Amino acid sequence: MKHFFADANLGLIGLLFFFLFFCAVTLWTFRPGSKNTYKNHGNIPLQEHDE
Amino acid sequence: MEHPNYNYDVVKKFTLATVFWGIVGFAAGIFIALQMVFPDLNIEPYLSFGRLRPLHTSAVIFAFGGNALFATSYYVVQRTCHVRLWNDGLANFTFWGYQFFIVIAALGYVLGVNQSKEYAQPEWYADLWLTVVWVAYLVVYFMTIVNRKVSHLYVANWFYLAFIITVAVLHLGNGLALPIGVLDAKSYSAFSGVQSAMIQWWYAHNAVGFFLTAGFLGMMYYFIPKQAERPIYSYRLSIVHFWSLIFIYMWAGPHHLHYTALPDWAQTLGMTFSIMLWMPSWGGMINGVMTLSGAWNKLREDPVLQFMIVALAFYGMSTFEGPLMSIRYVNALSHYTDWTIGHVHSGALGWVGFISFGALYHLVPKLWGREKLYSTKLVSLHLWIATLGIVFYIAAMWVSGIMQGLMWRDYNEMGFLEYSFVESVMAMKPFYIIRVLGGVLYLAGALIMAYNFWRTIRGDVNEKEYNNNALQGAAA
Repeated sequence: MKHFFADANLGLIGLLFFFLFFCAVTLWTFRPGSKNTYKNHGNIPLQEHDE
Repeated sequence: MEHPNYNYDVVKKFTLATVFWGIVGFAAGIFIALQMVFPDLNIEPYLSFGRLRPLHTSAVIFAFGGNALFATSYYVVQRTCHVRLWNDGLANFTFWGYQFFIVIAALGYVLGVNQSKEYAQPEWYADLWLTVVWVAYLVVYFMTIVNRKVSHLYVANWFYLAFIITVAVLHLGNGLALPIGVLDAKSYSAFSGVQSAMIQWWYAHNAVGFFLTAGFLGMMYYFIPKQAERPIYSYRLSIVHFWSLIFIYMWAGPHHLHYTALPDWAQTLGMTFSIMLWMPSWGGMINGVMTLSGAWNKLREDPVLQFMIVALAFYGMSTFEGPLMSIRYVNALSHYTDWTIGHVHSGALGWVGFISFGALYHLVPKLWGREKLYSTKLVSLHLWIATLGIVFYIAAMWVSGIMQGLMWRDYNEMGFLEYSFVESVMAMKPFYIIRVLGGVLYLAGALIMAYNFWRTIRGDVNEKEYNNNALQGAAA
């Protein structure tokens, strides 16, 4: 464990991990054929009873 | 769709607490602003500026803002998950526990008990109590999400959840301290020197990023679509907004430590990430404003919606100003001056305050089962008075802050400083008076809101106003 935190490349590994995670999320969000899914998600607050 | 029996009782309590603490916090702000103009108002030792200033910041951020976040998050999570808030008893505990935290923290400040960390002034005993309350909050919120009847978790809840989790991490990290005795209020931080400074500003800037931004963006993503009766402009953009905001904000803290003992690379890192924050901030702002695309007439007719859109305008303005001020050369002028105070208040009064007022105006009639607010005209009056107050406040601080910065750095041909410090203090006096005026207007607006809520909750409707509107509608 101690050895792991002393790794000189830790900063780079972290940077790559978060950057790639972000790229993956963005690409996934814009995947083809998902347009209606997100449109429906956007309507969630409007699909409730208002009494 | 079956209508679940929502827990509105706890939401009502947090809503009333928001209004109450808002008025207390704004009044405290006016008093300390007056102390800057009339130093005789420093009533030693309990009501000196040094003790009341954290009382003001904690009252507006944690008491007003915190209660607004509790109220709206509990409301939004129930209504977007179609399920009752988990465990009434624990939810009720978060209410009384949080109010108790506010009171013991405030008492500490007045009595001179203060950890001396910006936005984290409460001492160890109050910090430990807040940890208990916050874990209860997370459990209530999380269990409600687990029990949800809607398969997709609406994006507003992502922002609220990020706010709750991150504030817990920040609080635990920055709060690490050792009390000098079990019966002694004083403690010492686990960190020292530049590490302590870095941990503190990692905390404080993310308090801005996750408490005052992510939490209130959650509010924005629910209440703007509800009030406009339209879905958010782009749900995809809201997802990208979420991930980019939380990934980038975490690294912006070092911009508070330019030209200090903090290594240059860390300062540059903080500056770079602060500038990158422009993108998610403006993406989110545009997403909110463009929700009205094709329905701009609603903005003309509805002062509650006006509150929310003006809030986004101030959000856009202060998130433009922030990255600018994080650039090291700009910071050399702005740091330690009133410009910073003005910047904070354009975000706090304009963004946090206005999006909360908008959400409260939407909430109160719904929670108490009233068809509409007592008076829409009073909402409009509140909007304009408060907006004018903010303009007075931030314009005065821009002028005094930049003047202050220029006076401090000015030197003559012999290399001596041109002005003494007290000369820069005296030059700021007129602007301090203008700031008081701005604060008084902002408080007056909040009092109008409180009156409007009181009449709405009693079940009153301003017949004259609505009859006139009906007549105009008939004539048109």
